[in-house]
Formats: sequence, structure tokens, C-alpha cells
Amino acid sequence: MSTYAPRHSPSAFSTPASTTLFRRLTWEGTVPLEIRVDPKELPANSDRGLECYYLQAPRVSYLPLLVPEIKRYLLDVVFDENAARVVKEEDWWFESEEGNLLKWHWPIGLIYDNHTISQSTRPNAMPSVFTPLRLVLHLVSPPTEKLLLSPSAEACKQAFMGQLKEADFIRWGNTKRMTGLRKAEQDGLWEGIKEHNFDEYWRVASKITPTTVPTRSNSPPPPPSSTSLHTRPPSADPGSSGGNSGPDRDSAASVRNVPVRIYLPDGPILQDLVPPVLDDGTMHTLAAFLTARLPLLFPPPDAGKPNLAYAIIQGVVAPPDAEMAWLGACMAGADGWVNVCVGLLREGMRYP
Amino acid sequence: MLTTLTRSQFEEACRRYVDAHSGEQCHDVKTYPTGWSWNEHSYVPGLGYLARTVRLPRTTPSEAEIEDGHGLDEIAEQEDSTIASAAHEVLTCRQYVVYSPTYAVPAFYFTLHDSTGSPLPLSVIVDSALFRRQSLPSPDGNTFGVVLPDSSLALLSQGDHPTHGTPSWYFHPCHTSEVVGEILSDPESIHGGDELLRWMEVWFMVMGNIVDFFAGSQCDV
Repeated sequence: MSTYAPRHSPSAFSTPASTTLFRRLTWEGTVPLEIRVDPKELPANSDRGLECYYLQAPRVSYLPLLVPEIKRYLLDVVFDENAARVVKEEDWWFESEEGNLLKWHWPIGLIYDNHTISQSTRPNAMPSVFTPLRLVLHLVSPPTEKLLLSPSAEACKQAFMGQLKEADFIRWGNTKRMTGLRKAEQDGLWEGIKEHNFDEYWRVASKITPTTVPTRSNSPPPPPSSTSLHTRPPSADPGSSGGNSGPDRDSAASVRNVPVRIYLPDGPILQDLVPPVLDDGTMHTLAAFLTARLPLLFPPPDAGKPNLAYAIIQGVVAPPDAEMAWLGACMAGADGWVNVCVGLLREGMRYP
Repeated sequence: MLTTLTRSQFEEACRRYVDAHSGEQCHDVKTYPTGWSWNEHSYVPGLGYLARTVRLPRTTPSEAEIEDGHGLDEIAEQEDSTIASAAHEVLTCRQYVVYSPTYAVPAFYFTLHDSTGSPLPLSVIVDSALFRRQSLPSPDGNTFGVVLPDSSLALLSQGDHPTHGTPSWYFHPCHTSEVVGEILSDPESIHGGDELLRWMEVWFMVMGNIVDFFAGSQCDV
């Protein structure tokens, strides 16, 4: 991928076309969902046989944002008037076909990819792509021990903002870019998600997300400038408002660390420091990251052993030579995070 | 001088804290909270945390009135006996000190349940004995978090426990490093010796401005 050199002030309009392309592909990504109401909970007089709703949901959206659409369908087609009166969305919760509770504060794309890798550990799993994620919708008795309370769109927004703030902090060592946004701008990010409007979201996100630059070169990374990669945060530099030091300020390679999380099948979520450039000056690649963090699943190249697992990012098997900095600028979720889902390879499969 | 901790520093600091403040000592017992135990994930290393469980009395305005002896007759006359029983209700508070990989500092997570095992709503939590009076801004009708004024960013909100993935409340640790760093840089606060232990002690002091670590009574988990 390209190296990073000074460019003009950050804005969506001066972002190179390839960056915008991948951001749009990520934004426009959708997953097929099949949502079926738990038959035991269908209210009396419901029109049985129709309680299944199909939709292509945006990867960057959230389950609570789908609820109004699902509810409209159920009211129109399935429930009678009595049921319509008593149904309480705040008690709704979702489960996968296998009985796993779905977290409403996770982006839908992450829920889908996490399901894919969970299936990779099942003995009879067929590697299938693009099958709908089959969800069971429960209307009552949410398991409060395992789910966050209050699955409202407002609560979801707050969770989303918290993730953006964390991503901001990881990149720059402070949350000034996020807290520096006016409240209307902060709200604009969420409105972009709700309306699924790329331009509205990126109008604000371009102020806080690092970007790449158009030049392609095989030379080593630029020598340390006033906004050097490691020594201090670019925003601390007194001359960083413009001129030579300004353009580096938002470069994907000048972040302190890239916001990345690793999801394992049915395991805990791993989060560690992911610098964009390694100590030897080379760009930090996905392969190096996975080998360092999960050496048994991704043995080092000189060990002569094949990988036992693969990595999915935004639903795509990610090439091991992808640079972490580039992933952070182009294929992060709308909440700023690069979610790497690790699944086990089956017989006959290889990664890369 | 450390303003942030790596994972292994956090682990070491917690172990030293538990060793130094294990609850059997009589002195210092009201300065540093005790009763914490170190726990780990069942198969992934590096995800350890401190935990303890505390039983809190449920405090309500009516309970305060009962204690003062005001309005006792009116309250006793009310048909609703739940007020009287609520006054004696015991809440279970599970408290955790976990590592925040984003901010590289400890973070305080907790759950609060009533005697039936139901998680309590935010309005009850904010008024509970867990927090020092007036230390939190009002949730203002918000049921899922306490937000900073004029912002969409939160101070206290819900999140998954980093090791177990179970729902908890937690305080956003974004300013912890600044506050603890400021205290540690004050020459008077350095008693010499163990920097990691001192870090945890100062962290508990800082959190203790909001969380009353000495409310209620401890119990075995």
C-alpha cells in the first residue's frame, strides 16, 4: 500500500479516491437477516406463517435501529389490534439460531462476522457465504443478567459515542478531536448512521478519522518531522496549525496506535496496542499483528507451519499484508474500530 | 513517574495492593478499601482483574425520614408495606477493578441488584449508598447513562465487563491518568518505595471521591 507524505488539510474532498472507495464500500456493506418471532411468544390471533421478516441490514447499523421497521411489518401483517396495543419494544431481544444472545450495542456487521467465526468451530459447519443470519426475536422477558439494559436507539447512540471517543483516544492520546466537535456535529455522526447517509456521516467523521495520501512510493517512511510518528502527539506541536507540519497531522501513519479488537469464536475480546509502524521502521501489517498476538494460530513465517485460522474484516477475508494503519483509515467501522474476527480453518482451506 | 500502566504493571500493582491491604489490619482500614481478590479468565492470560462483593442497604428518602423519626406515623399508616420492606432491603453490589486497554489505566465496573436478583435502574443506582452524595450529575431522566453537560459523551454508562462480557456499569476512565498523575507528581505524596502500589492507592483515593468504598458490608462472593 502507499506510504504517507504531506498533503493538504483534511477533508473528505481531498481524500484520495481509493480511500473514499473503500470507505464507501465499507459503509454500503450489508448483510442478509432473517428475523423470526419466537413462535411461543406470538400473541393470540397472530397471523402465523408470516412472522418471518427478511432484510438487508447495513453493516454499520445497529439492531435497535431496525426495530421500527420490524415492528411496522409485524403490526401490519402479523399482529392483531390487541397485540399491537400491548407489544413493548423495550422488552424485545434477539438471539441467534444457536441460542446465542445478540448484543444490541454491537454493529450489525460485527454480529454477522462474529456468527461466521463461531460457526467455524462447529464440527459440521459448511463454509457458506452470504447465507442470511437467522435471528429469533423475543418479545418479552429480556435476560437482564446477560444483556445491557435499555435497548433504545438513544442508549445505542451513547454506546456508539463512547466507542468513537475511545478510538479517538487510541489514535491521538487524547479525545480533543471528539470533544472539540460541537454537540450538533456529534449528533450528526449518529444521524448519518440512522439515516444511513454516507455524506452526512463523513462530513463530521473526516475531522476525526485519519486518512491516507495519494502518493505511492517504495521508499522508507519519511524522516521524523515536527509531527514525527512516535515522539509526541502531533497536536502538541506548536507549529502544527498549518504549513509543513500541518498535513502530516491526520495521516494514518502518524497515529499513536490503531483502534483494533480481535474477536475469537466464543472467546473474550482482545485489545492491545497496535502501532502503525514497528520499531524497525516497517509498516505494521496484519500478518505481523496476528502472529504477535496469536502465535499458535498464526505461526511466524520461519516456523514453516501453516496458519490454523483466518481473519475477517468487514466480512472480507483480509490479506495478511494489509497495513494496520490503512485498515484503520479505510476499513474501520463507523464507530472507529477495526474489528478482526478470527475463525478456524477447515480441512482443505488455507489462509492466505 | 507512571501516568499510565501496561497490562503487566496493572496486574503487579493489583497484586501488591491486595497484599498490602488485605483486611486483617485495623489501621488504614478506612483509608484504603479492602477485601479484593484477584481473578483471571479461565483460559486466556492477561485479562485479570480485582473483584469483591458488597451488601448495601437500600437508601430511599422515606428510609431517611424513618430514621429521623419524622412522618413515621403517616408512613406506618400507609397501606403500601413495600416502603417499610424497601427500607430494610439489601442490595448486592459486585465491584470490579479492570484494566482499560484504551486508556491504559484501571477502570471501575460494578453491578447493583436488588434482593430478587433484578438489576436496578440508573435512577436508583445514582441515589444509592454506593455514591457519595452530590458527586454525580443527575441522569435527568436518562435511563442508560450519566452524561456530561452539553455533550453526547458520557461519564457513567453501561458496558460489557472486558473479561467476561457480562453487562456492567462503568465510569469512563478518560481523565484518570491526568488526575492520578497530578497527585503522584506532588512531592508530598511520594512516601518512597513502591511506585506501583502507590499508583493503586492513589487511584482508589481518586475513585473514592465519587464511590463510597466503605458503604455497606463485605461478603464472600
